[in-house]
Amino acid sequence: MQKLSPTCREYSRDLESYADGELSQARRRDLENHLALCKSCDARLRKIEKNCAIAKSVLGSFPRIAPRPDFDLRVLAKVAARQQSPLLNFCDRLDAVFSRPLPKLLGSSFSGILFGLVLVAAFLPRVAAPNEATPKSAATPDFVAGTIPTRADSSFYAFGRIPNEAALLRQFAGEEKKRRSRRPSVKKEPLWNADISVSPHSSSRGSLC
Amino acid sequence: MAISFSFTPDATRNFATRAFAAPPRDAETQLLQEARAGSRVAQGVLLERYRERVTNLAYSLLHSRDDAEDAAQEAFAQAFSSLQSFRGEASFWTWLYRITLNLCLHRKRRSKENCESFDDHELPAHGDAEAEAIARLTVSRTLDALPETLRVALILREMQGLSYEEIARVLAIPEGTVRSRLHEARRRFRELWEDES
Repeated sequence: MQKLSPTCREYSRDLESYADGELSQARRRDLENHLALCKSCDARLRKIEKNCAIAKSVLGSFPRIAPRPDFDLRVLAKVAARQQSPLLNFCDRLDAVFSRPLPKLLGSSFSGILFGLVLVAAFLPRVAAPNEATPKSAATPDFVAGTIPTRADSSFYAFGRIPNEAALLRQFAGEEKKRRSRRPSVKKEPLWNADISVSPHSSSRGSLC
Repeated sequence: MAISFSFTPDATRNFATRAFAAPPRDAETQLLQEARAGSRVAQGVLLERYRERVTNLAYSLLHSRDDAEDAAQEAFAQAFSSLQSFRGEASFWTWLYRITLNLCLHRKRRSKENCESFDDHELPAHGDAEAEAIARLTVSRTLDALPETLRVALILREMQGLSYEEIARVLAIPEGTVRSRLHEARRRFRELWEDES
């Protein structure tokens, strides 16, 4: 891209306004004097004028529509409906605000974070600091960090969120017992029952036969 | 495909070149006070004064007659219902234009999310009318390919005939920003238009 001189840069800001007929007379005269001397600014102006001409000719002849005859009546009916229901007004405004990109993004991120927090609060057990003196309630004992709740602490299991957890646990315990009873029992000989003989050639250490 | 762009000539053909003459401020203040008090006559006068411009602004943004009329009616209803909160710092039409723009852009974003297309059912079957409708759709598609900020600036200038100062007031941006947006919008519009045709 061609680098502009400071003078050209200053005048180039005015080119669009000049092509649009929005420049003050004094500024216009200055620019015209500059354009007479500067070929590159003149070329830029031609380009801008071409862009303007295309936009004007295409968009300027876009068809117009005339409002239908019942336009006013419909508006007045809408006004009356709004007066009867102020909630409608409020909802419209809310809807309009949250349709914009930034509030929409903020709203959706906030609700996402809120949902995440609710999930965490619902599924994670509460963790208390080890030194914190927390009163233990019989119904919901605190899960103290570093200690594993025992089976004896039955109220911990009562805290579980699986329906009929106690019944399920009983069932699992029964099945496990049955499984164990079905397994053939292997009599494990303790190591110290093995025959240990001490050969006369060996050292004082015994050897397993 | 070369698209010939020629709409049937009518009385309103070069509407954008007509300057928008805002009514005197004092007369309008009186009218607004009456409309705020609930005068149907005052509301009727305001409707008569602005309905065509507001409907056409909505039409240039939404490209559908039904949607445009509905959005324009909604804009008037919102404006009349919230006249109590209108402090009169800006002129009424600037405020009304802003409401219309916001409503239309809101609808546009929604229809984009729902992947709605143009009003193809408005296409006539044969003849010049069909060619005209195709040309209109091409313009709409070209405009819609522009980013929202550039599109709005271009529409307000070329289709509504507003000055830089008026556009700046409607969009609540500095005049320098209007100029740079228009420059970029026209450059991109030309590129897209040449690609289309």
